[in-house]
Amino acid sequence: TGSSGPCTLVDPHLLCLTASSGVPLFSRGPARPSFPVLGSLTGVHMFGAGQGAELLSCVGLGGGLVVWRVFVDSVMLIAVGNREEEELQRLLDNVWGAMVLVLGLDQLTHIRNVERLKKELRCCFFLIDHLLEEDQGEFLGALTHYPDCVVPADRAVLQTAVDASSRTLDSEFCCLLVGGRLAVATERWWSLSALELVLLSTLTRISSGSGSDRPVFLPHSSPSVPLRLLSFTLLTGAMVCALCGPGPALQEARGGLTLCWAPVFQNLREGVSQQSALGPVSMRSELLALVLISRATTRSVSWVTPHPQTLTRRHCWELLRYFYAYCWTRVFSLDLDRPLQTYMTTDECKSYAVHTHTHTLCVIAPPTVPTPTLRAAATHTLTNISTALGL
Amino acid sequence: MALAKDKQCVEEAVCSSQRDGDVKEEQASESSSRESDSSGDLEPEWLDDIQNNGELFYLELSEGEEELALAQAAPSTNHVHFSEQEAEIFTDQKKKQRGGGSRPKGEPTLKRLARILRRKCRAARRRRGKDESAPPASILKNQPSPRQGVRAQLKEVCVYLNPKRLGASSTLLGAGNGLLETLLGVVHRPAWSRGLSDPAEVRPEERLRVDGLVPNSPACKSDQILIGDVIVAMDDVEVTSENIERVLSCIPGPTQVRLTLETVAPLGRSGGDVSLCDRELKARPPVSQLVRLLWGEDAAELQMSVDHLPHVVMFLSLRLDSTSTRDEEEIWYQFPLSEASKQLKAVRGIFLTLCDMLDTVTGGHIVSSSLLLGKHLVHVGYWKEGNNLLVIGLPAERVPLFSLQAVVGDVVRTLKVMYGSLDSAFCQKDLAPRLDHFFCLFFQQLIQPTRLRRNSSAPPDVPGTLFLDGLPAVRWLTLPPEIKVEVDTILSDFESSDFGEMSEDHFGLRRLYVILGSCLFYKSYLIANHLPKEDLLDVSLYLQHYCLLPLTSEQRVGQLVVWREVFPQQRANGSAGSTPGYAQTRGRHFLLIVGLRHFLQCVLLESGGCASQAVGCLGPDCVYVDQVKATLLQLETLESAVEERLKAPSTPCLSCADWFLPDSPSPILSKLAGAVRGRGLFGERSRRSSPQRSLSDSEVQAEITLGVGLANSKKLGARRDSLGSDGSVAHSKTPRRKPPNPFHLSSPSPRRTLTERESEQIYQTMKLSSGAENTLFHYVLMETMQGIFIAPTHSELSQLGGSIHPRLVRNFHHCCLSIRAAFQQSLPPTGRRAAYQASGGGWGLGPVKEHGVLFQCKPENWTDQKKPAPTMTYWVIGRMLLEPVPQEFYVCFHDSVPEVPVEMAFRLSFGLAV
Repeated sequence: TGSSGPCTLVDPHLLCLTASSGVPLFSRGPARPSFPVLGSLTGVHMFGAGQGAELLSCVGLGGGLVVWRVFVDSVMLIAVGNREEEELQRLLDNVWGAMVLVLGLDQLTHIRNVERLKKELRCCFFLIDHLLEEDQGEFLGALTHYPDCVVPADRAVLQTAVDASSRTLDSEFCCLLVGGRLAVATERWWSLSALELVLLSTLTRISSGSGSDRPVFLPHSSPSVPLRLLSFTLLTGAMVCALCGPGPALQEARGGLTLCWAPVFQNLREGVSQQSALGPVSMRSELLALVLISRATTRSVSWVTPHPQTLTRRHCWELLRYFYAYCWTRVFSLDLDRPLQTYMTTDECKSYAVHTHTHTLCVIAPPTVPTPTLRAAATHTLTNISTALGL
Repeated sequence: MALAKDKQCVEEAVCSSQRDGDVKEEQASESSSRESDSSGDLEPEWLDDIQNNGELFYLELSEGEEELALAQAAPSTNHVHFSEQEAEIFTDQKKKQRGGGSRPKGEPTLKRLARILRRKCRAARRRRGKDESAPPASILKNQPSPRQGVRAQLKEVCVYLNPKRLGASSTLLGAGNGLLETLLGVVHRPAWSRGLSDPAEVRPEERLRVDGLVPNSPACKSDQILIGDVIVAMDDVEVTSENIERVLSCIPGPTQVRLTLETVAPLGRSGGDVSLCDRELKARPPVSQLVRLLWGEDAAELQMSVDHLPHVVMFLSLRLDSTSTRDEEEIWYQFPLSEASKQLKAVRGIFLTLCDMLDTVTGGHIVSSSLLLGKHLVHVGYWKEGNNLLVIGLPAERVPLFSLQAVVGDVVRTLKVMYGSLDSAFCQKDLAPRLDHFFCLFFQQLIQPTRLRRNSSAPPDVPGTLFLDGLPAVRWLTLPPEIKVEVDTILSDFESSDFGEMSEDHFGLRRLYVILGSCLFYKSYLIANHLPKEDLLDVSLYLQHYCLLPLTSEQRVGQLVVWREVFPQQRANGSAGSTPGYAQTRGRHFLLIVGLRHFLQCVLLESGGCASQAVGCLGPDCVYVDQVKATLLQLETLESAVEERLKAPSTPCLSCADWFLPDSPSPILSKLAGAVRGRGLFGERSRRSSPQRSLSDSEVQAEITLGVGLANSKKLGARRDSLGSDGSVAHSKTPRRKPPNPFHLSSPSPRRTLTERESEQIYQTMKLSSGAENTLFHYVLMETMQGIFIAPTHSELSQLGGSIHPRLVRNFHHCCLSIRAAFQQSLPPTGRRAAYQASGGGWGLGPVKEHGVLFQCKPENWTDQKKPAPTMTYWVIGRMLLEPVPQEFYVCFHDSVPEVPVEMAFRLSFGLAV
């Protein structure tokens, strides 16, 4: 940065400042903006707010976007990136949620000591950085706000084990994550808000070690009273986690859980080794990737298979993410008549989306597939998965 | 219409009033001297006729010179000149001309001789003549002699006067004008100032004759005070030129006064009956808000009605000049001055800072920003040029963010075409009133388009306007080849500048202008174009901005003459380097637009280069104006043919969305829909024991498609073939639904009038969709290279009617806006930073070729609680084609037959050549 040349922040980048005084709290992202840039980004928003004009966003040529938002009148978040505006807004939601999750709402609302807050905010960097890097990963939950799920083959058995764990840990909130995706959970776990579900999954996924015990605030359900998030690795790729009160202690909980899960260990192993998030459902050969969102059950499943010649696995995920974001922000938001389906043909791929009252399905296919076939494949897949998996 | 109203209006309303005094004389003499220099004896003879009794009457018939009917003085400066002459009068006039064609041919020669003798004093006379040519030409031209057939009548007109406004307006009008001009808006030229020596003419001049109207003044707004009227009394107090100032000065505050006017009316039509005349005046349809706005009236009122919505245009300087003494020195220009815009002005610091900073933050200069002003979301568009920044703020509810960039781009290009550059448009103080008018039109069109249209019954298709106006193309009307050839021939004849005796060549002089090309519109459709694409777009942007195209399609324009210097963007940007061995000439360019009834011809002229060098401010050259008029008159013989084409059944055939709704509330519709269902015309449906048509669930329909897709080979071609054969089988079964016959629109059975065979032919030749049933609802095809697009015409749409069809079309346009935004956004960036490309930013999905959305629609306000509303699903698909010719194609069809847009585009564009 500086005078050597303009620093361009096209990857998502995040700035956090106090809303009243404009003191920078932190800045995350691949490239750090120079102080003058940071100052003017903050300044324009604060000036506008003083004049009764709240600056929301700003678009540059080439799609670069800056989004401003003030949370609870105390913290201003600024996101810079090359995304749709809704995507960046969602990123801000997630980041703010992560800050509340770690520090609690009170500490962020009433800032008494800025320097102390700065230090404490370092605790949430790992989570925020993960959210910023998310678009390289294989998880779409942070974007869709429907937690990434996996449907194990013998769900009933695992459900019993989770319910048993919940009783053992004396917690109504308990779940099993397989490969970082929600496999089964208690009723109450599903009643958490989408943001909480996504953040808790992310937090569990990135926490290392065989077992951990960390205090968390729930951004919507419990923003001021901390709970304990206990998480244990049952075997590689399978984690169980629960939200507890003061008891039980970590060691105590570990013992109880072993008892619960020992009988179903074989089922668990099969679940982990399962290749696809869709369990027993076989995919049509035309498709390369799909994401299915079930609004009724607040779940999403996604699946990708690399194309042998042209598309790598990672690129498939990227295409899926782009296409979902496009459909979500541009197509299914059209409101004169109700949009039901959409498709897009590009040089790289064909993509198709079906949008019903209960489901949204986006699929990616190689460009060789004829569009009418793709339509058939998409609608067929939607009925297939939703009936087979009960989503 | 007994009284033809002739209103002079000036595009630059306020400037015109300054013209009155010396300026006008200067310009008049300048242009006349220029004419006498360059065109010599070819000066139109009617200039002499103007001097004759101060009225214009000229009759000379020679080969193809019927244009003389229009021989009315063209404005001498860059003004729009409107008149609402009733067309009948024109035809009468023409008949008379034909009838009186025995006028000796030798007369012009005699006149010419006489004129040579008079040449010395002509400048003065012409000036006077121009002043007096203002009375309604259609009245006066009908009179074989000036007084005969004209009889005086008295009429009373109520006018609202407000002396309080005087303070503001007097500064504009300048000192020296009396209250008559400043308060009432009536221009009266006393006899002595005309330099008349004839005592016979002096006497009536003591009376208060209306010699002109000040635009935007109460007198002008009243519509009833005509040039040529004589003000006899005000509130029953007799007034003359002597006491009028005193009487007016007695008005203390805002009040309404009753003026008694002596007016002239033509004899013969109504027998001069006052009451009849009045009735006809009242029966005349009100002048549309658009025309009034173009006249420069009502701007304030219209602007007031949108003041609650925040919108602003500002031209800001990015250079800080501490030595300047001006207040708010960084603001070159701002409009409007409402509360909401003041708020936006107050935060201009944001715009300046963002513009300066965003480049370093995102790697691309700023395009737009959004801010929340109170409860209004405002999108702000930016355009940076040099050290200045143009900022346009618009309410989000009117202009979606993704079309803002196109809107700003268009307005910038229009300004550049008109003024050369943004700097020259905004940085000259005296242009401000014109810009006010320009932006008033701009905001009115975007914020309340309904007010500007005469028939505001239907909800306006705002997305349609945004989409179609945003296309870099002009709406084209395909004509039958023989008519097209004729139109082109007439245009080419004109463009050859072979004006015969009228041309400069005839006198061995250098040409004033080279005609670069012209284009012809009929009822807002382009029917012939001889301009390069970029020039065509420049011209069409100008027309679009001034709403001239809707104007000519909605009402017959008596006469429209626009003349101005323009700066065609392609030429101005010096694209000379592109073609080796060829350099663009650096001349000046002028745009001449002449409208006559529903025709509108735009001519691009160049001076310099081959033509003589233009110096100073040039007014329109009468010869060129007359030649365009002549061309238009010549084209009028083709009007019926063009009109026939417009009224002909649509090609390709369109279906109305309502026909596809099962169980519609309307009995006719349900019958039609029932017929559709009963016949099982959809190939796939009838083959399979098909699900009910009323099943609207997309999944069911997808199943059907799936069936087709699987039954046929997965290869696209094979599938297509099988569909094609499917369709032809169904053809022979005589589809019962006929294309609507437009000629019997009002008859009870609209679709029964053509014989089976005829309609069968039409049906087969013009159907765009595959399959047996015509499922096409709407389409837009843009030929990128030619800068034209075709879409169903307005009359085709109104023939289809329907209750949900208009909404479907609106949604189609709305969706097309979004699809086109995706096309644009996904195009590989040109001239953008390498850093940006390296980062893989922009469009993750790669260049979009085709994008479609399936919609479900149901009737609005469905009240039946027992039954669910019937639904219908349809596709909106956009396709970007690069081969064989670059095209963009947008189509909307019913979701029963899978269509291949590429094929449809090909079928549609076949034979579409300019």
